[in-house]
Amino acid sequence: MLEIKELTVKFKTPQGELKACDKVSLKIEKGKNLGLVGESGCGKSMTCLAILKLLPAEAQITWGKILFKDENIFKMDSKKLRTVRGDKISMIFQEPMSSLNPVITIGEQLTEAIMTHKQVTQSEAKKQAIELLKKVKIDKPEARFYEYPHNLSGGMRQRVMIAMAISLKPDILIADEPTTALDVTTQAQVLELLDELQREYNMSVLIVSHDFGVIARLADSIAVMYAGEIVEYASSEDLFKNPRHPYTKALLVSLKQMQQKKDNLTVLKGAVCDLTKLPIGCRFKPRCSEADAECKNKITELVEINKGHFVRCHKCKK
Amino acid sequence: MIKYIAKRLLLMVPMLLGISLLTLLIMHLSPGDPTSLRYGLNPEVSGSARAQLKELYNLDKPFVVQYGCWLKRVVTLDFGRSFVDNRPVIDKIKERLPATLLLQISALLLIFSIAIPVGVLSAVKQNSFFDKVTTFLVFIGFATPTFWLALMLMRLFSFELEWFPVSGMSPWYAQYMSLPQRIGDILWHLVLPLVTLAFTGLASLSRYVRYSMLEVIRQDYIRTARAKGLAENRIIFKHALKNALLPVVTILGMTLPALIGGSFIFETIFAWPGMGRLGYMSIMQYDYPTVMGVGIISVFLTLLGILISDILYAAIDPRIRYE
Amino acid sequence: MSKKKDFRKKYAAVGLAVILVMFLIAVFANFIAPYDPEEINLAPGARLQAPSLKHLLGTDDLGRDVFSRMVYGARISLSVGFVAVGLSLIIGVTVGAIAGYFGGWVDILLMRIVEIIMCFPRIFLILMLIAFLGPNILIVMAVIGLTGWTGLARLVRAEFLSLKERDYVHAARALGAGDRRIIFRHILPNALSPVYVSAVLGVGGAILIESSLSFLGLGVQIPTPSWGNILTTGMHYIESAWWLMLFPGLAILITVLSYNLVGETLRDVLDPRLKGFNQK
Repeated sequence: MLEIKELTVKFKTPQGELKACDKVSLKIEKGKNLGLVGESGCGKSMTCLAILKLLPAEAQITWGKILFKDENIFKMDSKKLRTVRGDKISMIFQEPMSSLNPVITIGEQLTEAIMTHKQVTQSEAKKQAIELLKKVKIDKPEARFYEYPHNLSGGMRQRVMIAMAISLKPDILIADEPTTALDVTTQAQVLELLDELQREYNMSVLIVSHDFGVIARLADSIAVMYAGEIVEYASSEDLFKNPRHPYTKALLVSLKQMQQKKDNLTVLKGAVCDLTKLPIGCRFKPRCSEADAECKNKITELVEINKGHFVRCHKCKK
Repeated sequence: MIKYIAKRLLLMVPMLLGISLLTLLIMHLSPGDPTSLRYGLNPEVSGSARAQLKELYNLDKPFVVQYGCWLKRVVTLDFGRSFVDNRPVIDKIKERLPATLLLQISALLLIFSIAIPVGVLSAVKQNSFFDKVTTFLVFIGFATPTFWLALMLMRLFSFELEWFPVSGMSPWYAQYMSLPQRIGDILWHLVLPLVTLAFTGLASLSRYVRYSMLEVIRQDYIRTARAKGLAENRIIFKHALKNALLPVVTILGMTLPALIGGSFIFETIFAWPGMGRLGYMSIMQYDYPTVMGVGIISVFLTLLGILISDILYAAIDPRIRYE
Repeated sequence: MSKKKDFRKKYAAVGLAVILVMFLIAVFANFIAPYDPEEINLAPGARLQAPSLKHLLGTDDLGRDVFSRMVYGARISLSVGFVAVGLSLIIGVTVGAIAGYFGGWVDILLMRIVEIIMCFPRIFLILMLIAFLGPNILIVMAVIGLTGWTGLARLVRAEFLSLKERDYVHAARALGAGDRRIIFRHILPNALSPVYVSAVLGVGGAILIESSLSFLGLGVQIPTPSWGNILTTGMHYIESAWWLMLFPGLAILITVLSYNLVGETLRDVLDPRLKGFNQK
């Protein structure tokens, strides 16, 4: 239903131009959830924003296309694009504290989304909005309708964001780090809510996180991103059982240690390579425990090593 | 909301104390006794005026007493009698105030009604031709001596083109006009002083709106609005502008001192019968009671402006309204 | 992006050049001015002459050469600008540093004073002070300086508030450095960006105010020439002698514009925060 093909996004910074996404290709199928995982700054958010053409002014799409129901989103005019945004594909963001407009009531922010895409009266929109607030388990929805975002906690605001995002029963919901800014209990509740709603509406969810734990709850298949590239892609089951890329393995090891509440975590040493000066060879090489001399100069491609399991590492053979 | 306004009003009390202290200190700044300062140079101030001044400000009493008396005068708006015509200062100010308020308020309205659209447009179309032209004009505006602009406008529109009157507000023949004619005549006289006065605040305010708007446009909630598929107009005017206006409203309080200051110059140039011209004339005539009176009233106007902008702020921002 | 920056720098370079030229004119006024700026010539036909080769910018109502008066006026404007801003800087930095560094009631008291002063229309405060102190050039300089430090004090205070919590300041304190040493050696050098910018912009502002005061007859007193008091004469002959009005005004405009261009560019260079780059 949604196909990202070789998406390349460049980003201007004072230090120079960097490649935030480098030929990223992904596919989201109807009713299936895709997880996108990686450290912060690896290009996950840029990929999400590119889908709705919401990239900041400093970013530029230099290559690739995104097909939604076989239509290239980048080629749509602004009017056509607006009919996709919010209606067909909607999005929730990482920061619930700043993602709602502080000077407009919750109710109006909800109803305007509905009324933009549907021919309904004010009172009908209000009824739907209150229904939605109930659906995302906000107590006293009639009262909340008239309140401003600052009266709500972070978790509540994220619920409002979710209510807004599902208000038009979209085909795809993009959730960019939806729980990162929330505390642990709220995280679990929000994820459960997303899970329920996905089933009920038969949406596809693109869930993005730096945390495998979050991804694991929802995703049917998972893409791992590193330094602007997809380094591994497989079904969830496959990936957890049989991770191949050294980076995926490292992430999973640290997840396991976190779950067992070990005191001394094996920390992945070093930082993501400088995206303004990318090496020719494998980008993960400086931090990789399995790297050898060959990794430095050999161009790595995403290779299908098993059916539906892709890895970008020349040491992983079929 | 009422609590908020009460709090704001309460905050003005120490301001008032400070303002009266500062003005009293200014009186004392003059070398030696303020009453003996400049009489050698100024024949208009006679010996009896000296006695008046001493009595008016209790200058022979201890400072605390002076301050107490002065504070009482400030609060009751009793500034004594003018040295020039022996009329109560407050009466002189009262008859001048309407003309000044007319000029100030219309200037404020003009400034806001131009600066907001210009600022918004140049922010939304950042780096466009329009943005570049306004940026250029803003730079020129910042650097233009406004009294010079007043002279140039006067020469062009009053002398060369003869579109507007040279000066004044209501000439002698106005008494023979009907009311609508008189209002029209006053408005006709208002144009040049108004344009000049508005010019003083225009550059900085439109720049400020632009800056504020640019800040708001990159906020997360604007991205949310886009993600919802709202039309661009709604995003700009509903979601962005309301937030961008918040800091602009606070600027209202800051603009007022500059505007009132400007009216001292422009009312003088255009012979506009307002408080600014009165202040200037009384300075030139060493009419100290009037000078102090005009000073205090100007500051009161500024405080009033700040209060209004605080209330406006609260009206826009729910975070303050429901504090 | 970089192209736009170059453009900006080009403007700033022009501004800097104008400032330099004005500076040279002010310093070498007695060599540049063809006539004595205060020499009155009431001979028939000598008054109110339009610009000609003999009198480049014409003569005024007392037959004085306007060009010479403008050249000397530059000297006045610049000295008022620099002295006044120097005074503002000293007061503003001191008050801001003390308020920001010590905080508490000192901060509250000082900032209240700043707010009170800001409530006065600056031009009226200046006029009032001059009315009490009498108009002469030193008083004008002092009064412009004394009323112009409030904004700077706020900026410096804000810098100090954030800088005093930095690690290197804590480290210096742990090593036993005294308040004065911390303020002057550790914090102040890092808090100077807004000071430079305000200084440059302030000179332009002070020149504007001096010219307004002189225009109103409360600044530089005749016969000493200043751009502002030439304009006063210009106003009296507004219908006839356009040159008395046009040139001093342009001189003020161009000078102030140059300081603003340099100041704004300096701000862009020194204070990247204000450029508003949004890194995601």
